[in-house]
Amino acid sequence: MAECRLRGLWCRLYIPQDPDAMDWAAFLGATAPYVDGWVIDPPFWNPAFRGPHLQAHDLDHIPQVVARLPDYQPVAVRITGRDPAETFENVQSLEEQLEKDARFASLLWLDTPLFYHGNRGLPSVYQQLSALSHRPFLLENDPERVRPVKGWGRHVDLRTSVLKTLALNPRIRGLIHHGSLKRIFHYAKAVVKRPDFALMDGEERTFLEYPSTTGVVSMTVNLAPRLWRKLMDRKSVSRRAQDTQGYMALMKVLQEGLNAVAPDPLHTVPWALHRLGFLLSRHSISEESAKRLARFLENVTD
Amino acid sequence: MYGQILTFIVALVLFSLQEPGNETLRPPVKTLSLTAAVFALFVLLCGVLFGRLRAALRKGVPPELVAARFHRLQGHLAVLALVFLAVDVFVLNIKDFFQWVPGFSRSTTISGFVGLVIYFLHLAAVWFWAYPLHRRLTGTSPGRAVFMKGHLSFYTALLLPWFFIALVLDGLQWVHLPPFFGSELGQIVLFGLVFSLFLCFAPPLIIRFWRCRPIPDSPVRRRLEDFCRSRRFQLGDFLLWPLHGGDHLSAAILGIVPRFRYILVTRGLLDLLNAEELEGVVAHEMGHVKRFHALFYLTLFLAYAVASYAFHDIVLLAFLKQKWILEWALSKDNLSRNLFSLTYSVPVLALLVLYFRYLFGYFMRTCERQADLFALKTLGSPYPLVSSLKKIAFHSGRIEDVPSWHHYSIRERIHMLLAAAENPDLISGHDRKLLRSAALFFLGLGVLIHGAVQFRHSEKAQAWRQDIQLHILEAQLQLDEKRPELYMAYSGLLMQRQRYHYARLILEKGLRLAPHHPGILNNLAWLYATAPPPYRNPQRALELAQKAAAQQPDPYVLDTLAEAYYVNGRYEEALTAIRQAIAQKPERLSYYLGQEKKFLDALEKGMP
Repeated sequence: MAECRLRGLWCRLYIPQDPDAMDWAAFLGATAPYVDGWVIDPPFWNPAFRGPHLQAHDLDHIPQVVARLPDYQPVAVRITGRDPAETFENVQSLEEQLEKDARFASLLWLDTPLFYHGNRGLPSVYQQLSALSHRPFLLENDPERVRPVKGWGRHVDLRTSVLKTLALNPRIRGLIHHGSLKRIFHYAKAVVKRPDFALMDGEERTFLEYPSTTGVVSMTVNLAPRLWRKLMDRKSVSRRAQDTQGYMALMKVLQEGLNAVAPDPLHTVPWALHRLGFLLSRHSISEESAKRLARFLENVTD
Repeated sequence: MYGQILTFIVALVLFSLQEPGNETLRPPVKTLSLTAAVFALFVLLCGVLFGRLRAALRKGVPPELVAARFHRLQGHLAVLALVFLAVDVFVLNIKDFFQWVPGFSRSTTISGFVGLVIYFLHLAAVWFWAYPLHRRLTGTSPGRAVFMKGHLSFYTALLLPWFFIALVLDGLQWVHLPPFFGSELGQIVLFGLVFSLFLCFAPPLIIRFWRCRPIPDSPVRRRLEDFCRSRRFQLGDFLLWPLHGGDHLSAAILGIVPRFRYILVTRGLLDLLNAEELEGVVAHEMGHVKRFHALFYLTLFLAYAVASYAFHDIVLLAFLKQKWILEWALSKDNLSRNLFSLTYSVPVLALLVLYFRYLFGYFMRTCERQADLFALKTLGSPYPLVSSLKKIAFHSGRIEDVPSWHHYSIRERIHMLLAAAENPDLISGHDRKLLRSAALFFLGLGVLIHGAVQFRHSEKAQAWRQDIQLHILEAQLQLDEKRPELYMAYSGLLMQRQRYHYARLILEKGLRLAPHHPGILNNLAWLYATAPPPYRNPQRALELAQKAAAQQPDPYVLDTLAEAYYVNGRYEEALTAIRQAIAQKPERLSYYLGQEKKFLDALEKGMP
């Protein structure tokens, strides 16, 4: 893990409320060969709220999910709490539960620090976290998930200067960024002294339009891992030049899929997973969405 | 001369502040080449600058103007040499090369000596290029080698006090001294004692170093001796001072003990001045002794030592509180450590220069004037001294208006002497001024030092220290997670800072790594026993404390066990445990006795 550079295609793994409701073997058999890493972010899939902080039952679910994943791929596990103290508790609790797992060496702690802390003093928080746990950290800058808890005028993005200081901490291994492309260019400049620092795109749409980061965290990869893999394999300019038409067609399919999934991923992803036969429970979505998704899934299976 | 002493102090501080890291910055050949290139640049610069002055003299610029520029340039180049020394030390990391010198890293004398040798090399370049112009301005020609040797021996002797004190203090490391001298205050007292001893008994050594010879018996010498005798001024001898080949026009007094007190006069001055003028010079030097200037200067030096003792910690704490500076300090690579040393040097040097250049300089100027006025009072006329000053100014290259930070210019001195001759009240007025200034200075410094000492022991400073220690331990824990002692130390500090939540997490983590470590068991038990709710957990505290005490029944562990019994309401067992601890005669016995009393009180109140 220490030498592993975070890059490529990461799957924001769909986690049902009841983990046993998923046919994990089939799902992972179809997905794992095509992805480079996993993001375990239960709050993302919680229909009750969209904050990035963990609930008590998430702490029980996470080890169950981690145990099902292949042990050769890195896994980013959400640790964010409502405040620093809760985040520390989450780390402690997860570490206690996971340290005996063979996959422990492949774990990274995923955190959206601005949810519970301001920019100021953030490097200190990570110094303390680094003393508490010796696993690496992956940060997430997600202004949309942070905004609801922040007062007016408060920063919802990591400040570039703060990221520069954070990047001095070798335990912080990368950042998943959501939002403006311009900001990620500033971030790239801020971490230029850390060639091992990963800057990954948390927005699939941005990545499809401007594939400039070292990787992407995708939720549609739950549904179309092979297609995404094809795209990632052709991401380089030279590979694109070999088959521009094919690349464009691939992008178009994925964009259509994203258009079908993105407006309501909490319902569309499980609906599609059920249709693909991975999820036992059925979710209802609008007829229009169902049509679009069905068309996308047909393209995927073709 | 005094300016040069100040630059020597700065050079010593610059050289001593840098700590070489574990790895060299560049390959040795590259470093040596770069050092040589930097030195060559300095030599070239000296050549160009003195060459320009020579050209100005050739073009007909008045000699007094050139002389003023010449003296200024020498001063500026001595300071610039410090900048080059700083580049050698902080950028090129030259100290790395001297690690093989035996005792270099342990002995202040050896490392300081090496630093001074490098600085002297730069000064030698200045003297080398200064010589031709000096010869043209003064009309003397002792030869370049003699000129440089004269400078070298003169300045080397100025360093004797440092060398003597550093050598004695280094030597005392091997001698068993009372514990008081191990403290910072004790070090200052020791420094004061050694410096006083030096002032009393070193002059015979210095005059031998300078190769001074007694002024041959002559009518002039006899007149000067009569003059001293008539003023009941005891003296070891009148000596010829071969300063810069003896052509320099100067005089000085050395020593405070009458038997080892000498008046030094250069051959040039002796030839230049008549007997009456020489009496003026001797009266001036006598003034320094009669007004206790040497002791006053010693007090100023000691005041600086006390001030730096008082402020050193605060400056260092304030610096280390900045995390980026702390990271530099903790870093293992040379570049970061150099950056730390360099950043830390800035306030240390600024305070040093501010103190000596401005405060000390002010008192030196005032003392010099007091000595002038003493001479006027003793002689009853200003003219011998005025005449001697005029001659010195003329023959030194028309330096009447050359300013000096430790001496008023010759023109100002003459004006004051003439004014005081007309109005003798100025003499007592000046004495009062010096007394007032000194009183005000020592009072102000005393208040500042008191404030600094109070601050050092304040809760705020304690909190700063703890914060820094926390950061250091955090950094160590990040590097090595398997050392239970780190968890113990870190959690202890966290508890002192009342960060119980985080302390608990750290200790629980430590316990997972070392489940039977008595220190971690003890700390966690203490936290559960003494922290406020919701962290308090008496039952678990007792469980952990019993485990810890079973493995290591040291007083501090038994104290925790007693506290755990106490918070569980088991006062008798608490009393037994604390008495077991007291039986081991622990260090902070009064604390343990206080605990015993607390448990006894609880037992009395708790019993029916």
